[in-house]
Amino acid sequence: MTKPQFDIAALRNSAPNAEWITNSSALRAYECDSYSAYRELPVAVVLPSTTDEVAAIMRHCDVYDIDVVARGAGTSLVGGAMPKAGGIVLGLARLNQVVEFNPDDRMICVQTGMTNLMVSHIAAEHNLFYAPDPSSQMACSIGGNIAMNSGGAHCLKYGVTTNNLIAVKIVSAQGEVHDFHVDDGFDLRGIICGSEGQLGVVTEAWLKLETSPEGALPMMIGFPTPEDAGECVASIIRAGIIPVAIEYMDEIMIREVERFANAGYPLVSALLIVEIEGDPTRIAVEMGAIEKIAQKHKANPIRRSQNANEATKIWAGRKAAFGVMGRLADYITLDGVVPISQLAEALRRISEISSNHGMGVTNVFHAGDGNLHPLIMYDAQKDGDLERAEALGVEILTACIELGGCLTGEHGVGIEKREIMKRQYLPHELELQMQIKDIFDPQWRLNPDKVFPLDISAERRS
Amino acid sequence: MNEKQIIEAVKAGSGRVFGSGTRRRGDWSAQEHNGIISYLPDELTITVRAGTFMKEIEEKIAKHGQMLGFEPMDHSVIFKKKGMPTIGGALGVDADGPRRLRAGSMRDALLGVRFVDGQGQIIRAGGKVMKNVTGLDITRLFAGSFGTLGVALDVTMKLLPKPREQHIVSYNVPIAEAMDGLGKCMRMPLEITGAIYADDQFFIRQEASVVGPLKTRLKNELGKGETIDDTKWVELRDWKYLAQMPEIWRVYLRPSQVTKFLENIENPYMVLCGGSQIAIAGSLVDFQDQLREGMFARCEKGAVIGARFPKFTNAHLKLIEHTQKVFDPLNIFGGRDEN
Repeated sequence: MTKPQFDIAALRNSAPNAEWITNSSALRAYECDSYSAYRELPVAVVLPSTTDEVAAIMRHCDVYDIDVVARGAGTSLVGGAMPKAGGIVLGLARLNQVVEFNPDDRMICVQTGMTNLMVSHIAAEHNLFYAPDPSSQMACSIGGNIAMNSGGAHCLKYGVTTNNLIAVKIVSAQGEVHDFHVDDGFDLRGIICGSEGQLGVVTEAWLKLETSPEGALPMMIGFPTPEDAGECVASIIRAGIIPVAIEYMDEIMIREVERFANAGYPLVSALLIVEIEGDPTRIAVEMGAIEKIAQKHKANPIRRSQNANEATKIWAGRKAAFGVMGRLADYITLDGVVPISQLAEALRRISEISSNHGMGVTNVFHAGDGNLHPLIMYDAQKDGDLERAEALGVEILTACIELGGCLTGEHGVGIEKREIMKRQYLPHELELQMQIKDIFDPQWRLNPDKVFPLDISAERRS
Repeated sequence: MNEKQIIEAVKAGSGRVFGSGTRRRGDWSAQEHNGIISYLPDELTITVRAGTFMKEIEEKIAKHGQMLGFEPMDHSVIFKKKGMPTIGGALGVDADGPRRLRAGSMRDALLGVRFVDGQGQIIRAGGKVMKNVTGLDITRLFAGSFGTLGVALDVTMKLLPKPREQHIVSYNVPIAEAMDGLGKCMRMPLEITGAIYADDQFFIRQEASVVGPLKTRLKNELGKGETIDDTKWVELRDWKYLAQMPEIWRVYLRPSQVTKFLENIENPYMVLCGGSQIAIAGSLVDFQDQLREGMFARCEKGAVIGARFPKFTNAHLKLIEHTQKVFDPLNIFGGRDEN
């Protein structure tokens, strides 16, 4: 249901110095995020540059019952930043300053519109880096990372956003400003992280920085079957080695990446990219150990990168993977997680489900933590094809739950998976989560219609 | 008590629940609800009942060369209690230890928790896999909530492989020199996994599969120190240096603020977690004037245990109380001061 139109001029007066966008052609840029199959025009977009401005806007929206969707860089893959018709988008792009940074602290306080990569750039001068590294890190914002509790290829060793977030400054639905710290004694910071903009707007964050390793080198390992690759991952972990990343790529993906990105990948049925970091001795010792393990799982070929150039080339291929698939077809990306011991079984089921539906699915994912990213290819021009792809996706995610996993490891629920939340949670568990939202946002005006199934949240949203 | 009895006890509203009593005694104990449910070394995960002794878990996983990354301190040392720490107790206080500066606290190892809320309902938060962002993260909220949200039934944690080699060294240096040295060394790839300052001694631990070259490089930076054994390290982990003191506070601050903070402090103290925390023996008045914006302190031991300074704002406190009320509407777990 769309609420009656509000007075835009009055809203603008709540933060006259912020940048306001109200003309329809400029608003188009905000109608969707990277989950572009679903679009909605907001009434206005505001780009504040201070916490005070955010608070003033939120207070106004509270009084006049205006829905607010916070937006970082719009790279959400699940519609997390899709606007609500009749509401506004509160963009964080101009909140992009360092608030406080002393390298000796190994932490940094930034405004949350800053991009993920910029944080690591600033830290790099001091031999530090910010660990969570989603594939979209060039563009995605820290605010978006906090909303989705983002991970990335390197979180096998360093954890995801919540493990690297020390404190947040958050503006509530009523425009109150709160500071939550990990050690408060009651971890409201922890419930904010990953709450998908449901509980407030985070404007500043203290982030933990890690020591840059002396070096890091990836190795490529090819396997005759996906099962061999899956089992090899479990064997590496069992041997007590935690690589910074273990990435998996299947045959279709390898072929396409080779065609367009020319990364030098061997044409095999399944490929692992395993990255080891540390001093040269450690890298050599651990790579040697992994090589021995891989041989037991019929690996061929095994190629160690020898220098930074080779390493860059290997990673360039992996990071180009999604873009490459975009040239071939429209696709949706899933984000289910399974226990590592179930990787091989999960891959088997995905290929079975894919052939039952007669649609192509290719796999590229973070194998070390069991976080699958099946890409379902479809044709947006073909009537009903998107719906078919979505139905296939639901089947794959249901299989992930059956195997002891979950619906999403790092992308979030958004609009994409809200209806299938019922497959992971029981009604009283969802009710508990919704009651937590009630506390922070009693009118359900913050990023409404997301995360929770529409039928069970209908009364709260009306 | 088994799972069913715990649910019945909660429904009967019979009061607070505690572990084995390393911290304080409760009305009834959930400690009998114990045992390892599943341990999967290949997955680096373990699921245990909340009353399981920490020691049992640590011994079991050590056989596979694995460990709890958060290296929990044993609170029974400062509390002079005989009870052995349980995982449920560690969850309640969000236990941490020296490796915090690399691996975080218990909440960072936590993959999921199943608990009984104040209405006797079983709630599953998180799960058994390494990554999970499905819905609100109740797991993190539960860790460190001092049992105010529910009675934990079982806990799934991520484990870490135990580094093959370690090297612990101590230096007899003033705090300013220690913090300067640490600031420099922590920005070098020296694999430092613990840094503690206590009793005019600065202790650094390095861990790696091959520690030799790292040792030499640390020596090049800080000079030759005295090699320390594991027993001493465990004493540091458990704050043995402060254990006799009747009152202990933990101050949360940033490493660059430590030296100045301590300038006018006469009380015994330990700088923990590479300078992100200071444990101070004494009462709040001894140091509260040194607390600058953004710093805060919590009482770890003594009459006002659990107190925080500065106090939460009223709005912040209201959010905490309302959240506790969602989990425990009848205030069975005693989270809220209600008349």
